[in-house]
Amino acid sequence: MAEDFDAIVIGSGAGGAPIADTLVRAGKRVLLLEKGPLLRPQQHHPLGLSDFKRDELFATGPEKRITLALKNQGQRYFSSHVEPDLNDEPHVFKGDDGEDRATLEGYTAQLVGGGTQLYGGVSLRFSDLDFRLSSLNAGRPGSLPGDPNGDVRREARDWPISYSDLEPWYCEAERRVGINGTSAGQSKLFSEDSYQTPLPPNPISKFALDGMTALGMKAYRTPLAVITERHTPSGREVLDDPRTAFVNRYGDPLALKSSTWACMIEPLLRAVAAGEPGIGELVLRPNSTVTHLVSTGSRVSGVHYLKPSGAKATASAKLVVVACSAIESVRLLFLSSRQDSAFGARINSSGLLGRYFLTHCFGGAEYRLTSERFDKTLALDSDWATDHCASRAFLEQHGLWAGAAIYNNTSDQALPISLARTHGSVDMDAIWSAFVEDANLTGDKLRGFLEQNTGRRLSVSFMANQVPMRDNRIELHPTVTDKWGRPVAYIQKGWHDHDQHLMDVMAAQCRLILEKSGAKYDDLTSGHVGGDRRRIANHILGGARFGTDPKDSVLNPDCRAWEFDNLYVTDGSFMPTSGGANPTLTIQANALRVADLLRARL
Amino acid sequence: MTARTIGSSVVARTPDDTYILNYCARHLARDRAIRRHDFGQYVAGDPRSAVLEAWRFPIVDGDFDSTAFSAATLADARRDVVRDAYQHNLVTFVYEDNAENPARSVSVYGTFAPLYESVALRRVTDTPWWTASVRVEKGAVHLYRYRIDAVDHVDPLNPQLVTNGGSAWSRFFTHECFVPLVFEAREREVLTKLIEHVLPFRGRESELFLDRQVRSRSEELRERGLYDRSEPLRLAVEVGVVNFIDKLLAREEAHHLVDYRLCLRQIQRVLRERFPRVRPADIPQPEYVELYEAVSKCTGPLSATPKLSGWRFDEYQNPSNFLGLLRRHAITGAFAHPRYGGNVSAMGWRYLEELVVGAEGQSHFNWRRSIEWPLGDNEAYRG
Repeated sequence: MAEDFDAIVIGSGAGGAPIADTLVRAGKRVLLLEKGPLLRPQQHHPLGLSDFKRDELFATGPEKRITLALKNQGQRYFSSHVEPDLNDEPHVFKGDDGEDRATLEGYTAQLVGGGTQLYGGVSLRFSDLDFRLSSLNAGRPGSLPGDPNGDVRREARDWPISYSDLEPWYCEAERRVGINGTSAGQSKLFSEDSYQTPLPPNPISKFALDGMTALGMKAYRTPLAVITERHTPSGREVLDDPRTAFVNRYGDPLALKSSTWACMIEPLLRAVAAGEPGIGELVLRPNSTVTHLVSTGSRVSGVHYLKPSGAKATASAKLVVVACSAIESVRLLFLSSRQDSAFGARINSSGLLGRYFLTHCFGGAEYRLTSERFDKTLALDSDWATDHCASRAFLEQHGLWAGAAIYNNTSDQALPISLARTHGSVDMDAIWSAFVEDANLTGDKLRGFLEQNTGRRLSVSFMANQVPMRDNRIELHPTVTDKWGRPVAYIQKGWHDHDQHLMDVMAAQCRLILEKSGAKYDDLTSGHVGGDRRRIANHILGGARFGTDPKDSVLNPDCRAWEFDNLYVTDGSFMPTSGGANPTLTIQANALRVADLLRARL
Repeated sequence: MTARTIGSSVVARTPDDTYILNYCARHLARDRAIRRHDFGQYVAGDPRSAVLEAWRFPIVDGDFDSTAFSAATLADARRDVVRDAYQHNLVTFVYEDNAENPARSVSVYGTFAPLYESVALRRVTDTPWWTASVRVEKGAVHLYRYRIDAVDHVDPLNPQLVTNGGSAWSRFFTHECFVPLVFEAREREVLTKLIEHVLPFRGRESELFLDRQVRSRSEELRERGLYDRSEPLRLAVEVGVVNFIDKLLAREEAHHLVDYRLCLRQIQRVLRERFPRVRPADIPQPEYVELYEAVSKCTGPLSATPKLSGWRFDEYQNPSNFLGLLRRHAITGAFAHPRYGGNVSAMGWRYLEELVVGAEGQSHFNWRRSIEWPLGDNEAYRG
């Protein structure tokens, strides 16, 4: 028998948790379904020990091999303890050679809190221009480099909401999540600054700051979703210095990183248990996989899911919110369409479901200091950022359709195994391969490798908008299935020639920052993902974009599926353009915006 | 969570259902017809190949005796209690019921409990899984069996199976285990010698480092009142790394056991041809360096040099492939958390800490700050 709720939220990460939080605090009864486990920091754990450890083998585990009937069958892979296993639930992408391969790229941690458990916490707002790239480019004379056919002008979309529409929700998200950083130096307008005070930067980051300053780039302390002082909204105390070498790709055993578990779900469960006045009910079901939605006319009437044992269950609600991360949300909507063609006709009336899948143009520069060394084990993910390359003047000067955020990385390559496994290789699929093949790296040479690289490497990255392309898309794979026998996500994407130009420009800027940093260095390299269609940056966006025209979008401006009365999608898939910054804060702000609309509906 | 005493010393804890389901849903729940996790570690058709990382069962996790911890009030006392609170692992058994023929009772017995006293498993509500958790000393290897409706069975999930006294048992080992499980003595000798070449600990300066560590470590251990399970290893870093690999091949990377078995046999044959009747440990180290060079350049019979005389390519085709594997395992073992049985007494971390000391004597690799006390200095985080 189906249980009935005010709302069912599918996915507990950045797009789902803010909805559950808002609605339960408004007195509603919410079912929060999460495919992954509930891993707990030590203060929330019945055994007094965290499920997350400061242990390099948690971020990148033992070797496994792909057994699926794909081109890269037999290839080794090393996944973290919370990523879906590649053999159990692969993402398959089509390569330049037309062959299909499984990849770890674009994987979002699958657990309560989703990607916010492992992310570096970079919590930038998008710029005002990011919301209106169509208008910005419509009136520009001439063609952009790499875009002789005017694809950018044809495919760029303004968001149906502006920066100023979202700004109050950015403020709300920053308050509720718990973020340290500085607003001074950012080009975005802030009506409120609730950042906590950043900790002193790692000394190595001064070179990034000096390089930015030398180039006339205004810098600010990178906003990071890590608390540095008591955080009243979530009731968290700072139990210890949050700076360690175990940041990006590590869950935080002390819940100082503001995952949606730490900043929203756990405090919400406490508030419900304490019976706070006016509070509703939260039913959190981890280890529960939603298989499909069913509809009756314009209403989603049931959510079918598997309990932890795999037994089937059904629940229903007045409102259903899908927030499984872009790839998995699109997959779920397609899987539901397979079960029920009427559902399929409604969800994909535009023909755009899964289309305009987006990630970020990203890349950067890196060097090795030759005369100084710093302790990178005392770090958060990033210290300094600049909006310099997102200004209109910069875009015009360099012939770009959109801008980028640039920031330094502080916590990368701070640990010895990580130095070895990322030696010479740049992505998750190729991890360990260069080290394994470099037979000379033994004895004194290995000693030299450790000596020369520990505490001496500094990198600067950019994160930029990718040109939306209709053929960049998520589908269901025709043959490969997950551990339940359901078709897996099939990713077909590439880069536009203008993306290549943009990435060349931005990588050169990152390189300049390092060149002008005043340091003595060697081994300066720069590059970007433009040569590799597979790369995803773990930022997976688009595929169910929102807009004002039902023929041109999957969701309406409220993130409601156009032809459904009660179906919403609130992870990154709503984005019509990917923004010139890491997307999580924008997903959270938008989810809070939508949650407010849902509260009014219930 | 409850704690109770069974027999004289085994305290069973009951982690909440969420803890159990976190493992079962991810690793066990699935369509069992699809066997997608066999990449060489199973005999064809082994049903374990349908589940993800069967080696995780039974679950061997950290244990922290929080009852002792909360009883402490004084700071000095707390340190003692924290130290004592880390002496065990929490071992959680999971038995998956047969849907057609459900069990009426399931218990587990084995060498982890006095007199093989059995511990009853409870069924997790609304699931096919039975479970029980016991506290087991670190550094141990144990054999066990399930008793299902009065009939004894090995654990159908755990791939670690051994024959003891003529019958089959399931096996598990706890953290910081130094009991050899897969390698023979001579295999360990050859591996230790190769790893001396692979890792950076044997240059002249590195040897000086190790000498200093012998002195400073014993002082530190005394100061912290540490019980050190690794004492018999006498600080031979490479011996710890061989132990790490021994454990890795017994569990997580069992699919590579065959690489080691075959290649160590070839290498021993090569060495016997050149040094008849000399124990591997007594062959001079430069010979291992030459051997390493010859193996690393050889990708098949066409690139074999006379140094590799005795290597049978019909048994193992690509010798250099094995060295890549060995190097990945060696550096991982040297710098992974000591719980995995390498990096003994955090010697790898101490080495790196000293390697990158700045002009004012401060290290630029301060691992101690974030690692749990008493191994490191962090008293907020429990490892």
